[in-house]
Amino acid sequence: MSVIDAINLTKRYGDIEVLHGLTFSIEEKSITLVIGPNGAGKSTLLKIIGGLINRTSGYISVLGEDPWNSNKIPRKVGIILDRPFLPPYLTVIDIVKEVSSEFSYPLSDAKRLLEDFNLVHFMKNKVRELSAGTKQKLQIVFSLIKNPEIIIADEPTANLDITSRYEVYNTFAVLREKMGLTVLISSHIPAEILAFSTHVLAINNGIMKFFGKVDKLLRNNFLEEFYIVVDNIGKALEALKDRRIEVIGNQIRISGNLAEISKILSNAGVRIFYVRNSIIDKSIKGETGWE
Amino acid sequence: MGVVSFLIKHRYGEYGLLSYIDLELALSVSIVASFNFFHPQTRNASVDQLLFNIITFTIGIILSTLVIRNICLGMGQDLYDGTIISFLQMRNRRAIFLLSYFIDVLLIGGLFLLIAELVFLLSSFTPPITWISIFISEYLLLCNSSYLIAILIKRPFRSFFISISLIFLVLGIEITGNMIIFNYLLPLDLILGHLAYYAFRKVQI
Repeated sequence: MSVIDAINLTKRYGDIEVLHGLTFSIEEKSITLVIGPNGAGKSTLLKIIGGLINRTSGYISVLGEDPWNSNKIPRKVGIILDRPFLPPYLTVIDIVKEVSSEFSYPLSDAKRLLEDFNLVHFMKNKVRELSAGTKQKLQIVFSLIKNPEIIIADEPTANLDITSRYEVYNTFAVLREKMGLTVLISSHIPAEILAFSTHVLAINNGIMKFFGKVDKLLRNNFLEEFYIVVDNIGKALEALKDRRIEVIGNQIRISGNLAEISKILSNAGVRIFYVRNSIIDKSIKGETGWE
Repeated sequence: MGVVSFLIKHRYGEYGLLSYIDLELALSVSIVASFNFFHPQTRNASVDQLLFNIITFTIGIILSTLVIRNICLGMGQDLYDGTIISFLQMRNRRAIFLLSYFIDVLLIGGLFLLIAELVFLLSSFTPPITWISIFISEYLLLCNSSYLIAILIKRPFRSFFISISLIFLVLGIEITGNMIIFNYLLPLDLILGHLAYYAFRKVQI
């Protein structure tokens, strides 16, 4: 069953058309990754779905209602933006108390959410005193307290460190499993979140380039290359000296069979910290025309 | 209390509303005191209606200036930096506008009327009841215009400067002795309030 439907959705700012006739359906309980280069129209699309801006033409329905004119949608949709929007002069605990009270969410559960996101130490701090990452986490807690049916997240992890980023992705994945939450998430690091997504909506210059399941996006006709971060570049170069490799910072770029490569490295006593397959980036860029 | 208490805390902080009550008490006392300064022989304001009107009108402008500051740097700032999104996620636009309008404008104006009437009563000061209609008309004209400007411009300081110039216009009306026209401006105030509501419904964030 679809929870968001768009038909010929268009948005124009003056003479500039930022969304050109998008048509798609977002399934219930899915995590849809909205990708595209800067200025592609991702934020505009998410804001239209969240009811913060109105479309110029076309049709959009969120949970069966027009998000711009709906009375119910504001309470059913959680919005997380890349810039903080919470009242800057209120303390964390004030915000959590008031939002919990408004949505009849048990305060003990809300405090547990604060613990999960490592915000307990900041309860008496005002929002303006928090770091960008902590504000972002508080926005996420704010949205979760609402018990929403849909979460719209516009680059929610933009200001977060790597651990917190994965915490957020994991939270979305768990909530989807447990509560049947539908998530729309845009990210400028698509390779990172692709592992948690079920669908991808790729736009570029306001035009929809791809919409479908993640496995349909990944293409196998590209040369597979791996970016591997290791503890000792020298040792890794020595172990892989008969292969063509390139060193970029403290990572190596290599093509071939990953199982073989990792076996050679571990036999040489090299520790592997991180492996990234270039197919993901290439597929995304190939589908979106992202240069 | 939820969103209402959330909005009040956001707009006035811990003691902001209490400060307003203190200030309104001081303004009400100053109306009685300044009238009594010129007419020590009587506490009956109908003896010199013009003087009383000038005093209350000036006090109305002072109060409106403070409220306008709150509107522009409150609602204007919320629209500018997106803080309004916090509230729009809790209720629909109509409810958020009405709550904000009540907290920013009606609450302060209503409290002033109550406190002023109480002070007048306690000091055996008997002004004609028509001062209320002139005050409401002047107060709502300034506040509703400011609300509309803040929503349309979405910039706190710019809207504050424009609203201040509007205050000077009203001050000009007072100086030229045409305050009586405020008896007939209530419909205009309501239209401005409705336009502000309409603008808020359509504002894109």
